[in-house]
Amino acid sequence: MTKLSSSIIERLKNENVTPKPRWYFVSIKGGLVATFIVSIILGSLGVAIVIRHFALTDWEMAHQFSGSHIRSFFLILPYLWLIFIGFIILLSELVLKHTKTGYRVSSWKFVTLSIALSIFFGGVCYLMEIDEPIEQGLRSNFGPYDQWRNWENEIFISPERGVLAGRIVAINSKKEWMVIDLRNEEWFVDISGATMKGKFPIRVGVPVGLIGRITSLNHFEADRVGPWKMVILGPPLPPPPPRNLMPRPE
Amino acid sequence: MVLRLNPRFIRMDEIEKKSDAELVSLALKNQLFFEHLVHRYEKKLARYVRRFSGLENESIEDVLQEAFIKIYVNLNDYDSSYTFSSWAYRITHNETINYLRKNKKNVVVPLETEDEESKNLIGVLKSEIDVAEDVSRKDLIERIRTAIGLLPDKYREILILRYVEDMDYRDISDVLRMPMGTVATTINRAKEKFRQIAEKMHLNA
Repeated sequence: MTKLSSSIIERLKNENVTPKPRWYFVSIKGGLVATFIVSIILGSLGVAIVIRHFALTDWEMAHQFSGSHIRSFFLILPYLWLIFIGFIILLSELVLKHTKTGYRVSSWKFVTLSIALSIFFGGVCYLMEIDEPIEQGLRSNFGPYDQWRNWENEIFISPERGVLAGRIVAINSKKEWMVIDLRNEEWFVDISGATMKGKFPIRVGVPVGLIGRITSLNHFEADRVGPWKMVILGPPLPPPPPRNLMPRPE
Repeated sequence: MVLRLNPRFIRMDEIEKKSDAELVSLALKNQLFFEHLVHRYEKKLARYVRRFSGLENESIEDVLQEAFIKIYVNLNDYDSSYTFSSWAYRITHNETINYLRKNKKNVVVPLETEDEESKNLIGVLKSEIDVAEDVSRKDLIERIRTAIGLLPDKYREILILRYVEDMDYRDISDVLRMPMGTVATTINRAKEKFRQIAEKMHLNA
């Protein structure tokens, strides 16, 4: 044998070097696979929440607020979730590159595949409504997240720009409702000239999205009334005040 | 059974016939078999380290010691779906880079113009340029060698693996941990870079 091979064997003996056990490598591989699976699940849930966000958005109201479809789209984009999904894709790519053969897949192929898989599994999660309890749980238990979601809805409480989202708290007549908006402000809404968008029950407690204009202080004239779906995800609004305490229209 | 696992009781030619994967599993049972793996690869890897880094013999020995110790420590991680050779090259490659970083050594022109494998790379690169008529053969080889030394590390190492170590794209992909498509692109870029350097050195006609 050569000088080098003998000196290596000598060093192995002197320093009592032994091969790392097989379980060590198996557990590293297991950890990587688990992280990869968890990141795919989290990514899919993120995509499901984004899909629901888009599906529940009242695009007519967004258009009324922003004045253009493109601006509406960028206003509605759930940036936090998109950043989260991007982070998850990067994380899973990093994990993949540390697997034994992960480097054989090019980054762009992996990112394309990840996006395709996330959209597919995200769609499945959305259809199975797996994302809803997670979103609800986040809103109830994580204050900053709830604040951010409410802040996202702020654009829909802009009566000065013709949009108002809230909940019916009283049906005063066939022509007038009382609505409490997402900021808990009360409005007398004239619906005499309004068109109804889709079919939805008209009763106290139902969330609605209105397009119209302010006519005077706390008075709103609606041109269009539609169901407001996004509030379903949020915390329940406070109950309506007793009827005898409600202010009467002048 | 115990006797069969001791290399002292197995004929040398029998050991030489064993595949790398077989030697790995034997080395996991008896350390002495590892000596045969070292013996099988030390010259090849030493040549690679020299060509890639231009290190002196003493430093190459230090690099190889560390690399082989790492190979031994990680023997259980060896996967027979790879060639043992590309796995050993990868560990040695990383160890060389670590050594160069730790010792802040600059890479010097690594190719010995007289060895057969290096002539292959020089031949390939020579065919990439339109050699000026007034350059003598000896001068041309020397200048190509200098130009190789001026290539960025990532280009030089990939050209050495492809044309000096004569590896296929799959093995290079395993050594450098990059997709096969990237291997092909990097080789083309390396040749392009070589052409640019050759032009600056007035090697082109």
